[in-house]
Amino acid sequence: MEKRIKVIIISLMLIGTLLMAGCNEANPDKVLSESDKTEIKKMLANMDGKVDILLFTSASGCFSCSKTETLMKEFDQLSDKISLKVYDTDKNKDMATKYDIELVPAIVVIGKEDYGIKHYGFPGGKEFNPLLEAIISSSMEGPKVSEEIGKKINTISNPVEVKIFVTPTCPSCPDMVRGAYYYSLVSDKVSTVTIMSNEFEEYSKNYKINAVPTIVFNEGFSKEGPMAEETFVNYLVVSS
Amino acid sequence: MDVFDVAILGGGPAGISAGIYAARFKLNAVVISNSLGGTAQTAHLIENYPGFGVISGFELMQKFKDHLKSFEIPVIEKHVYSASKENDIFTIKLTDEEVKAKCILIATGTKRRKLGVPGEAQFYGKGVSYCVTCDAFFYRDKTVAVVGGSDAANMAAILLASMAKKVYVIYRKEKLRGELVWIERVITNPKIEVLYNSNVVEITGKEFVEGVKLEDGREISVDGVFVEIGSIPECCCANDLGIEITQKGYIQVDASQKTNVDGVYAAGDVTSGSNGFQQIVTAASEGVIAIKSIFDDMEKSKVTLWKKE
Repeated sequence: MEKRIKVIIISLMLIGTLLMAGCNEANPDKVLSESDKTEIKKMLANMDGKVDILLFTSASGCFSCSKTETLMKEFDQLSDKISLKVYDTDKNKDMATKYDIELVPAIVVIGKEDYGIKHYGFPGGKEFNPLLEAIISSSMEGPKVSEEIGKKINTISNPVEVKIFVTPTCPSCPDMVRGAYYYSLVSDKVSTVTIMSNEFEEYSKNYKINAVPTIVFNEGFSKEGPMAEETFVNYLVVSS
Repeated sequence: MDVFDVAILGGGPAGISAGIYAARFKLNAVVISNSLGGTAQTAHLIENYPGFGVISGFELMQKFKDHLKSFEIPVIEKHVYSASKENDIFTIKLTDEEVKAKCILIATGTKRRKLGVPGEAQFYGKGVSYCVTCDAFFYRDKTVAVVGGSDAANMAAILLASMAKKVYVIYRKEKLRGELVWIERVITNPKIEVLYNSNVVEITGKEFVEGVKLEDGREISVDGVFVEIGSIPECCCANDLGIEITQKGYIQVDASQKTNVDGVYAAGDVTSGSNGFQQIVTAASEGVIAIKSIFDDMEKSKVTLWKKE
């Protein structure tokens, strides 16, 4: 399993670049190019079980809802193991409350269970791959971590919500998001919310975000810049 | 445990090019990098890599990665902690595993140089940034300073000028350096003001950056400071293995990218090679030359076991 996940991750890193711009120049009404679709399909073939993707939008106004919905509907067509459910937060307040939706568009990944993985904003640029990896991994029995990291993660005693502020052109952001999703997958105490700061200026200002990646632990302590896996896990443990 | 022919440490232009050529030479190679794509990914625009016209650093490195992928070279995305050599076999210690190889190619590049002035560390992430492609967005309609006068600084200033209200370029010398194309764009941009012969001595503020103090006593109000004053080599494992380092801190290599240690090669920005001209195209070339040298030496090694002639 571990080897398989590694292969997926490496392959996903190499998916085409069109999503960087979030548009399909050959066909402006679409987001994914044919080569993107082919590559993603190959990756999705590694899925074990089904994954529900909940997309929250708002008809009353949203910067990237339309584009995100187009992307996720195209994505939904690439595997019968993906099931996309779209909710307008104005009409589905119960669902929005259940999943604590603060911003739209919001993407919630529900795999074998709800691992607490959420993405706010259009998942373009460098942020598409970590989300895709999380979707695939969440269909599996659970990725393995090294013994050392596993021991530390097991000491997380209380829930920790990780908020990662990113921009689509930040090279070090995907690694942080990838790591956080991974910890969410292996620990039922860790949940992760990724926020595209370029879309949510006011929300980012509330957290005094001036650089990316910035990681906020349990609405309190925050840390700017990339950090090593071990440091990240230590912050999770301390924050719990 | 498998013993690779070569462990390529680093995943920037040198490391990836080396990986591609290693595959072409049928070497049993592994690329180890905790940031595949390297710092080249952060370049706003690349206009001098042959064949690509104008392309972003991220996009170009994505193409490098695509090319590497086509050869099924294993990539381990982990940090290298140390390397040792015993009985002509290198052991590379990673986060939670070890890799063994008959030789290593160090292509670990560089890391950003810091100003080392009061306020720089305090305001990191609070107005001080080392990544313009990451953080430029936060300075829309604000005033920012770029410290430096090289290509990276000039490119940063141009990107920031597309969003910020005003951009100061603060440079210690009397002329900007680097490609004239970038310099011309900087000095003709109405939003950019270049302060020559100027040194930042302090970054000031309360919670966030509010200004910079210059050596001549001037104080300039800015909301952000982008530090683009070059880089310093990341000479991974150099001390562990007794590799010769130049006075400026780069790994000393010869024309075939060999170091003074048998079985250790180096390529890219971390080396003294290419006449010190650190470019994506020169890094890629060094990676390729290193692999050819490794291949040749391994052929010879059937008799001499990597001893230099």
